[in-house]
Amino acid sequence: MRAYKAMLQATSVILVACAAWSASNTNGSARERVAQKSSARASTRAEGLAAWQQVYAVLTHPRCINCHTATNYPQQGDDRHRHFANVVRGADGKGVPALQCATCHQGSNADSTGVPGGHNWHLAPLSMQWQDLNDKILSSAEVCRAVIDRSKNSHLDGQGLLRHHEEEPLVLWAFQPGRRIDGTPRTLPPLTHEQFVTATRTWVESGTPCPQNR
Amino acid sequence: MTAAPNSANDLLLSRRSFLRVSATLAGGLIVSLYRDIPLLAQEGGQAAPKPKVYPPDAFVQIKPDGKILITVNRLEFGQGVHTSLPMILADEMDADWSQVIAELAPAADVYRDPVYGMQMVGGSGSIAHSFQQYRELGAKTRAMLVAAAAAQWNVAPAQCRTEASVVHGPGGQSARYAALAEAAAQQPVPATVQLKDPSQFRLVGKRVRRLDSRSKCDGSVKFGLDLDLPGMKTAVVAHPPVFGARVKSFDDKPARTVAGVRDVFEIPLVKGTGVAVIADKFWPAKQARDLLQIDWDLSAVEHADSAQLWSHYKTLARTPGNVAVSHGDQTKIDTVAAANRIIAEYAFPYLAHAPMEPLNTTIRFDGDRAEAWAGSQFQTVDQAAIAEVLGLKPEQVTFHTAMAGGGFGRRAVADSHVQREAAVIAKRLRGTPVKLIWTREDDVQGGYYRPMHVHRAEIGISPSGMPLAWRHVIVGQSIVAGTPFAAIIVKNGVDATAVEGTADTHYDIPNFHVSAHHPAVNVPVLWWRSVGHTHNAFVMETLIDELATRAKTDPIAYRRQLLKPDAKKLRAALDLMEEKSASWRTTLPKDHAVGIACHESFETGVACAVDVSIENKRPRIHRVTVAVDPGFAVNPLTIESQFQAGVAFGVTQLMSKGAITLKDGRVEQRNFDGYTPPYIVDAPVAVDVHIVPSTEAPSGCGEPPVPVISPAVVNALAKLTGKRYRSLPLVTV
Amino acid sequence: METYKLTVNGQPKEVTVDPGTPLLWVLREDLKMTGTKYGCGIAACGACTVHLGGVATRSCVVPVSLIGDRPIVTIEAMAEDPVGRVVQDAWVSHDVVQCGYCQSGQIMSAVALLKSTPKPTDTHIEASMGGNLCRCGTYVRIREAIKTASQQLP
Repeated sequence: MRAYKAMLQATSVILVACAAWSASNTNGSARERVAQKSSARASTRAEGLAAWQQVYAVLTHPRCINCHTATNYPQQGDDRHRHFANVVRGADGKGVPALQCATCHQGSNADSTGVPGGHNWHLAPLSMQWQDLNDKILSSAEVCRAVIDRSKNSHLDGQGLLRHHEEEPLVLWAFQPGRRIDGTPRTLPPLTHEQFVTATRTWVESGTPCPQNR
Repeated sequence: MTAAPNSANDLLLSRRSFLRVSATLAGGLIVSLYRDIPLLAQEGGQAAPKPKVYPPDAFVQIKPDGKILITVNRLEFGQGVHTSLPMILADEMDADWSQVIAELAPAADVYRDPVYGMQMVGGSGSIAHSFQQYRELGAKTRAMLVAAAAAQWNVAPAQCRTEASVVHGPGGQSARYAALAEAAAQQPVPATVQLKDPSQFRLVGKRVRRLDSRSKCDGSVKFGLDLDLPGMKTAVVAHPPVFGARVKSFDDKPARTVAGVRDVFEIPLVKGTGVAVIADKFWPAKQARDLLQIDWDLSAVEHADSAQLWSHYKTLARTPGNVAVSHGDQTKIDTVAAANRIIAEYAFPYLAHAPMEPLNTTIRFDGDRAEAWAGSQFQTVDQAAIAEVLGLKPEQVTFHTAMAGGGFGRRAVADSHVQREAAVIAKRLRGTPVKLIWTREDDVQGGYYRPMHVHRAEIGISPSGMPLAWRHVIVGQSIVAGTPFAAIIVKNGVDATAVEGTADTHYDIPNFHVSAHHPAVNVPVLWWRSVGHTHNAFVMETLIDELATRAKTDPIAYRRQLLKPDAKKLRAALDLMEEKSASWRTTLPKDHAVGIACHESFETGVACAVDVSIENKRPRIHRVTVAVDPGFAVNPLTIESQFQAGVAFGVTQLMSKGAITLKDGRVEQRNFDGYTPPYIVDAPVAVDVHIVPSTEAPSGCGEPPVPVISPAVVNALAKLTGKRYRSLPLVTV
Repeated sequence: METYKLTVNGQPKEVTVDPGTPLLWVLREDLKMTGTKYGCGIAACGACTVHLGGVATRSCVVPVSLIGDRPIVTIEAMAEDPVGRVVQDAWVSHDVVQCGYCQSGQIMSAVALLKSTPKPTDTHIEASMGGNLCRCGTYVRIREAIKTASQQLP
């Protein structure tokens, strides 16, 4: 009975700590976050951080980050140059009338004309910008903080993030990005989709830890 | 019938032309103009050719239903001649303008440009060269209609008047032109005719809207690329990746597996060889071409390389070239202290024209004759080239002029290379019409660019701030070298088109010395809308601005001071621009600046003021006030249109991706993603155009808008950033 | 080769083509509707703009295999369209066109803009027309014509 009560107490401490941790994560210092971690997570935290680095490598690959811009335009190409023809974000990330994403991008890749496509092609919201206004990629810590911030990520918790990585059509697209106009296949992210999902799961199960450096 | 000259405004016909008239089977009146001695041929010292009997091709055809079909003797490619030339004729003819329709003339001697002696459009010469011609045509047609009516009514022609396609007699009689057409065709063609006093113009001088607007808005107009003939095949050609190279071998097996592909074969090009793919439609042809495996022999041709060329040109620019103009003491500059000298080196890249409609030609060869369709700026030359390839005489080639989706000079090519490609293919496909299409990639990579140029100018400045000596070296390929135009345009080893805008400056510059080097480079080059003025005006107008700044003088006042007293058109344009921009030039927001430029080209004086700020690291052109003296303004609406849009075209030179570059012989740009012309955001937001009233002969407006905009914009940028911009395009601001 | 049933300007059409054939070339060569133009083939210029399922679409990059049952509307239908007609009239009254080759696409884009935003600001106009190229440079009059058309729409 006493063991059970102690477990409950420990659990509630952990739960409260988690709540406090996730609530304060964007504002809390690295030191605070370390202090809030229970020592029971220490072994998986390292694994989680390693997994996050893998996730980060995918998120910041051109196939993903080209639509996670801070600006009013998407990028294209492995060199992440500004998308041609003055394509812009628009109010909802889908472009503007007469120049929407759907003006060219269809529901699947058009390999005969070199235009990538996926269901509901659009830009990630500005809250999910993974580069700065000068197109410089944000650090692993910055991206991690943004991704787990529920005020920014459409209120996704860890499981929600995992599902997003598993199922979201435009995420899936990054791993089957089609061919360019010259017939060559687009460069793939550093992991397969399966590996990406596995890494995400590890990271989520370890409590979605973020690197502590800025 | 003769008309005695009675006022200074009467423009009598020269002895060199008369009208030939023939009645059509349909009963309309056809009038054609015969010119027996082309001016250029005379100036070139050739013997006058024997007068030809022209076919009954029409300039005017009055149809029984009252429609009046007027034939335009040159390509319509945006400049508006499809409307302006008929307007001129219709006015003198007193035709009902609402009944006028226009067509583009096929290739025929009767449609040669009266000054150049060949059927063509270019040099902003359409109105300048054909204004008189079309007036005469209209006046003669009217005279014959009146004569016919007068004969029917037994009255004197002088007692009749005309209005809106009706002849009115002295006793209340009236007859519609359509009813008189057959009788009029029987009348003798007058040798001379009285033209209207300008006060009588109903159309000329007025803002007359285009005839081709609606059809270009509803998808019904047909450009060359839209042509469809029964049994027609489509051809695309794989061109060598380095100009002039040859096919060594090729594997077409994968290409031939594409459904709809009919044939694949090697063809000779003007230089080198390529591989043609023939298919039922464009898409299979293009797919098949992409599957061709071609082994090119790149060894026998020069591999032009931009980096190497810049270096070579800059070295050349430091040595004197062939003299274009030299007056005064060219060593004077060496006596000026360094502090009072400007030494400026300018660099300009190759530019592609990139007209919206990619190049195309359709030809059907039937053995003893052929029929061709193309949006050609050079019908005489192209028709002859096709004939040559097919082993025919030019008159055995019926050459139709299609509406063209832009040209800017790209469709005026002395070697007719696109037509020759098409003819070679048509010859092989004898009996089957074939449409050759150049893709956008072919266009961007296919050469015939505005040449690369380097300028080096050394200016010695007097204590007053005015130039006291000016030594200028221009380096760039000769556009006309190797073409028949070289005989007229190259003098003393200087291609006039490379130095125009500098050598013939209207600034009064003492001790002025301009020379040029024309290196031979394996890149085909061509005239690009306003030709030499594209770079020369940029150099001159930015240097003048720099001088004005150094002299702490207002840029408009400085120009006024430095212009030659007899630079009448430029002075008039400058004055008008100053007046019309006064309200905004002095009240700009803090982060805006004014830029000024003035330049005369093709005998038209232009001055502009631009309001520029920097947005997103690019020049944002909020407003352009431009004044123009084009002589008499035949259609002010067309002129306004040319200037509003022409300055947007001129911005091509400033675009950050506005350069064609080569690396080891290969053009690095492929399509609009790599060579990017101005979009709406790059173009001036508002342009107000002001025309200097004039009764001088009309000069051109097609090209004159282009040279002023780039220097004006960078002159404004210079005020904002303190930098001087001497290299185009503007990669960074 | 595959057979596709398409609805073009309200009419049923059937074509048998390679599935990768862009809609642009199906329109131009299989259906002989040349109002929609080829300018670049990489969706950089807008000359090929049609309305696909009500969305302004660059037909040079959409393979016929991806169209499905979405209705296709081209420039040829704009004279009968209430917004299209107003836009065309404004284009004519402002003498917008020069060579005219880009104008089918410009008009299709302008119509799409005005159907979505009947009273666009200058900023809206510039953004929505921002991907349509005009080599002649008729942009000033395109802006003016869109504003005139807008005024004439309810």
